[in-house]
Amino acid sequence: MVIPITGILAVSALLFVVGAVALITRRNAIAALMGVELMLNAANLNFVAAWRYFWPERMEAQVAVLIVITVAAAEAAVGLAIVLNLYRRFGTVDLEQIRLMRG
Amino acid sequence: MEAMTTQEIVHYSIFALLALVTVGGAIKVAASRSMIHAAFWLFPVFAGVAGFYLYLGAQFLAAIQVLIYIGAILLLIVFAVTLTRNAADTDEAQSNRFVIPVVLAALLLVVALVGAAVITPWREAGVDIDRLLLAPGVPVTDVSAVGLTLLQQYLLPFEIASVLLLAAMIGAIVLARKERRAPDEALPAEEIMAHDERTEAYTELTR
Amino acid sequence: MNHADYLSLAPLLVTAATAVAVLLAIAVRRSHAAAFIITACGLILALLSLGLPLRHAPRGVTPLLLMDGFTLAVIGLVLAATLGVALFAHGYLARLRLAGDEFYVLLLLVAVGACVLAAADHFAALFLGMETTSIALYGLIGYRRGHRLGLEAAIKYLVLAGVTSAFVLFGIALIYADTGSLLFMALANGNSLLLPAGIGLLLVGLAFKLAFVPFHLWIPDVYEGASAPVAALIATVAKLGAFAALFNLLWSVMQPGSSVCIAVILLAVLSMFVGNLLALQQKNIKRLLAYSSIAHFGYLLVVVIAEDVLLATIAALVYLTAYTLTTLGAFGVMIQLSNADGDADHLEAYRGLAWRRPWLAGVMTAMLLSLAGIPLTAGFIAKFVLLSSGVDAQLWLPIFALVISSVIGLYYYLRILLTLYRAPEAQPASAPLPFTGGVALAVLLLGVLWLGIYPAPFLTLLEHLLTYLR
Repeated sequence: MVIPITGILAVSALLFVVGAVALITRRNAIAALMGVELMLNAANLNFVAAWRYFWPERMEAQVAVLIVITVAAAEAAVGLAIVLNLYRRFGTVDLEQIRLMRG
Repeated sequence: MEAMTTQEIVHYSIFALLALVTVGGAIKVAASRSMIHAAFWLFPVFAGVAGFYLYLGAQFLAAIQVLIYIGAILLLIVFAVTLTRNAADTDEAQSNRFVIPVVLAALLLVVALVGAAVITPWREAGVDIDRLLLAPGVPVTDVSAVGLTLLQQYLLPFEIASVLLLAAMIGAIVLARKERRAPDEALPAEEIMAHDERTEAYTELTR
Repeated sequence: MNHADYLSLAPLLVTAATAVAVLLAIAVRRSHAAAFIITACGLILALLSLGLPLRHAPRGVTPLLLMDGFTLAVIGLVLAATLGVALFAHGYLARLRLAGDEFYVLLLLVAVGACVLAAADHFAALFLGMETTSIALYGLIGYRRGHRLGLEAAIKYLVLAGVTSAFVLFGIALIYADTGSLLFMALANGNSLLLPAGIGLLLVGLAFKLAFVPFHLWIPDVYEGASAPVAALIATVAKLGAFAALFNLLWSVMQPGSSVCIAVILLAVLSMFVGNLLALQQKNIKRLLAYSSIAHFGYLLVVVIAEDVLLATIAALVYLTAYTLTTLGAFGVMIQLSNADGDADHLEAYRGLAWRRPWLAGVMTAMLLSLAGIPLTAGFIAKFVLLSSGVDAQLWLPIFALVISSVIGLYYYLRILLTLYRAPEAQPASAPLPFTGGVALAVLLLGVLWLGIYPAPFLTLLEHLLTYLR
């Protein structure tokens, strides 16, 4: 078959990088969180590809993906709680406008 | 160049479709002006990754991906976007001043990562995946194997993950509860006004 | 897992159980005093239970955690630092009339995460420990809900932790693709280019977490926005865990002259200079301590590249101990001076402190001298041991940078010191020293002086610990 692993690794690398770009360049706090989710998905895809192509008899990678999904959900919950609070206090979630500290 | 077999054509088209949906969706997430559009573009990304899991034979993970990422995380994000929508936000440029250098650095990183993957002399397994899929005795998607690994070798991380979930729960409660005493730093009057005006403007717009 | 495994995990289990006990106590009755007493007792118990794993060390508890001499020493430091923060926070929360109970739960969970990080010998433990620490810290940084700086710091820390975990995880995935193993040991034998790419991403992630230059932009804002006890927690407990993990991780890949080695030297030298230079102009003590911690962890990186394992481990532990004592002490004084009007983080708040609060000024003097590395304090001994480890490995460039940047550092520490002794202006009287905070400050002061004046017993103890438990 057919699809060389390089193809899947390339997709995951692209996903990771696009996530990083979203994280750094978007001004909206929620968009930054979306960027993190993209990057975590990229890492997961990498794990599954490595499992499938090289170590199909070991389940470590799948367990790792499960752990990552758990962590991502927990982080999203707390993160969005922070974002909602931020909106209530600052009236915006624009990271460029939330700048009380300098120096 | 020899002609592709039907099987190869099917595999390549599945891969191309999944890759297009995933990466294309991700680019739309990063580039959409409107936050709500960006949030909805996450759907093809998460679904595409789930598709990859299915294609690679990890059905259990695909199900979990749909349940948690699409069912829970995406929903949370859409909620957060709608709750924090600002009437003014949609017209502004949504990106900061770093766009060009960051995109350049990102392209470099992609080239480096893909380059590393291309140069690497892959072992035979990569060629043999089709045999693996069909070979008897090789558990292609053995959910029970995942469960055993998780609860035997990986019992300790399983428990640490529960500590982590406890931390997330308490953290979310702390962040979301009402202040139990008089706020020490109430908003200054003019900011409350500004805030109210903005909310009013928003209600005007959505009416 | 068998009997000995559980005994080896005793400190972690006790700490986690304490968190649950505090939660149960909250369910019965919300009381700051009860939560504090349970936390303090639990942490003391956890410190005492460090004796249990000693008998079985070094021992790998499942492939995940490795309890050896170094790990146990770092766990001891983490638990002691958490106890110190809890003691300071008791008075602080009472003065601010903040509800304190959940604070202690999150505090304990940060400690559990840091202990897991310190003991990690496996990437799953590394990732989970890191995430437990950060997720518990989000709640702590945003703890004062009405406080806008706190929220800004929380969102910054959230973004930082997201970046860190994404980089670390992608690095781990690449390493797994190459080696097929999630053990730290796997780093030593890769066979493709994915391994260096993975190690590079992993290093970037950890550099974000530990705020090495050029990944340091978040740290001053997070220190400033977080309340003083939480800033102390980030500066000590969270950093201890992450550094121990970095140390354990890099030992398996470090070869002199390798590209990882060069990258680490670069990070170290940049952190020393940039950290100290940025601190020069600071008038905000929290930001100043943030920049100074960048420099201190830059110095610490020297031990990661040293060759002699025993000497490097001792140097790392002595430096971490001195750093923890001193930083906690400095934050402790700041916490005592803080009240409901805000944290005492501006330089002006310390003007003439020696006339108003001679004891606090005395403690602060000792801490500043120790941070600067003046003889007769813990900071001097730590720097001395660190230098000798570096000289032993002939790392001339980092050593040269260390000496030069320490001299730059002297300037801003002495500037605060002079402010302490300048003629006072009319200042409102601050709250009296609470018993808990007073005890903690006294212990820290004694620790800094004892380590500075008579370090021999401590060094021998560490040497025994490390020789027999490797």
